[in-house]
Amino acid sequence: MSLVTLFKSVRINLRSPCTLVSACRFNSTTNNTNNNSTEQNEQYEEDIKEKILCASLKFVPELGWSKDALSAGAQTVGYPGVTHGLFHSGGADLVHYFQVSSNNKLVEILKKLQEDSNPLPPVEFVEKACKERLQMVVPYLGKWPQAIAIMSLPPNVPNSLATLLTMVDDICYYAGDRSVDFNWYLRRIGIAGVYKATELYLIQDKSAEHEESWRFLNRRLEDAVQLHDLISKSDVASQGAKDTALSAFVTARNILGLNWNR
Amino acid sequence: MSHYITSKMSNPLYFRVLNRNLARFCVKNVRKASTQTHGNEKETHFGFETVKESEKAKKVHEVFENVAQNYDVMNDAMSLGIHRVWKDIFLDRLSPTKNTKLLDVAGGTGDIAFRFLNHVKNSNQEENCHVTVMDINSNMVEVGKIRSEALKFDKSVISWEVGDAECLPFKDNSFNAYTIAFGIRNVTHIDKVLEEAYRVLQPGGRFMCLEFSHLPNSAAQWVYDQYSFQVIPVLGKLIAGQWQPYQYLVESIRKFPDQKNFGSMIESAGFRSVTYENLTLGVVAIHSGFKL
Repeated sequence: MSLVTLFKSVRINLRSPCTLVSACRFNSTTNNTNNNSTEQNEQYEEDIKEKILCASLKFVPELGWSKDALSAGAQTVGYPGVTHGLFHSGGADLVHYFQVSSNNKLVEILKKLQEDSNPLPPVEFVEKACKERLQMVVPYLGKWPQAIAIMSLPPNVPNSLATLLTMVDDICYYAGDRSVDFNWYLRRIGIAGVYKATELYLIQDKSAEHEESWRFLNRRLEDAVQLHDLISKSDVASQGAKDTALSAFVTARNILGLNWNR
Repeated sequence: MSHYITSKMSNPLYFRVLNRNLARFCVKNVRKASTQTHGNEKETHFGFETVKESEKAKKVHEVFENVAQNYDVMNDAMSLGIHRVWKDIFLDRLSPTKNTKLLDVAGGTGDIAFRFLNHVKNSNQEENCHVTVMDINSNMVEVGKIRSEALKFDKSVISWEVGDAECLPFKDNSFNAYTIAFGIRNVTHIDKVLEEAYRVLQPGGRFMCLEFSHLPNSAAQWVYDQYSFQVIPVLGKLIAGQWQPYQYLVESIRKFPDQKNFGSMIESAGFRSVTYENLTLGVVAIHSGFKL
């Protein structure tokens, strides 16, 4: 149970764009500035950064997830090109911003779906959610392999895992998953796997309107449902699956640096 | 130069003379350091000496007037060539783009300016880039101008000024990048220099400073101290024929605030998103801030 609450709290933290800043920062030593104004200052900085990142996304299809896109974005909002130095990891910060803001957009869509008068069954809900989220990637499809490559670099892995876990957690939550047992992990890891597999399929999909990808997504979810049924019907297998899920989760947790045994 | 040294070094008499000179310089330094300056005027440090604020600028000027000719050779000798790598990393962190108007303060011999011009050329961002090199010392600027001509840089993209970093002869918001490499340590009022940097930068402009700093690892600091105090002044005497400027150099490094304190000074001047990065265990640090 405590694992669940902690995971939730991490999820909330990741929503705030403050996580974009990873470099060492100084606490102002001038003691007369109270906490309120420091917060305001930080908010001011964050707003500017968000404005630049948002403007930079338009240049991604042309310039890629790069410093060039960031400096082009900075120039469109009236700052000089060298302002790209605000983002220490360059392209990785831009990808992270895109992931976080897309996740936030997805939550809005999911909320609306959930409030619908005749709610979808969970599997269809998950399929629709994955599709909505992947649609957000489509405009950047030409440069998406680059984004995947950037986010697979060791220093960026914690961020990319965290955004993925946040996303699948949102999907599960709004699909109506309120489990507090190991199914909680199984579902999230399962959906993360399906989502990532479809994403890889999508980047080499040449079919019209990416129909093949959506069919691929549908088939993978069917497989997942079958697997889930199989596991829950067999006691021995379920113990093994639980262990696997637990160890996978602990690994992910350690990579993210969340050790609550301290 | 190296030929000159080796031929001199093979002569035992030269060593005896040198030793005597070194001893004399050491005694002089000790005596100097122990004299205290009193008066109503505010005092500041010049290396380990305490001097009147009005005197520091003059003293620093003398130091650089004397070393201008040998400045680049000495940099290579003292840092074993690593200062080139530091400056390359410094420019890489700035990553200038199109339309960059750079002000390089204390950039006398043009090391940063030439790297800047090469960087924008190699990354194909030359369009509308310009660098203004400013130094308080005309001797250093002269060396830079000669080097610039020898390296055949276009005169329209580089301009040279003699001026004071505490009182820049430029209008507000006239640059979008400000660099100061191994210079801020020598000024009398660091806060004034930072305020002036903030003034001439336009919103979004970046302040970057490359400067000797302090090593967080005390064992490494000890090794570094030994090298600084035992080797560098001797090198200065051997290669440039001067002890005092290099004694000043290592002393002024010790007097300069550490990474965190200098960072808060930059913040106090109004810069935001202030960060620093240590190079070579903290022998030098790159500080960066933005006017937002």
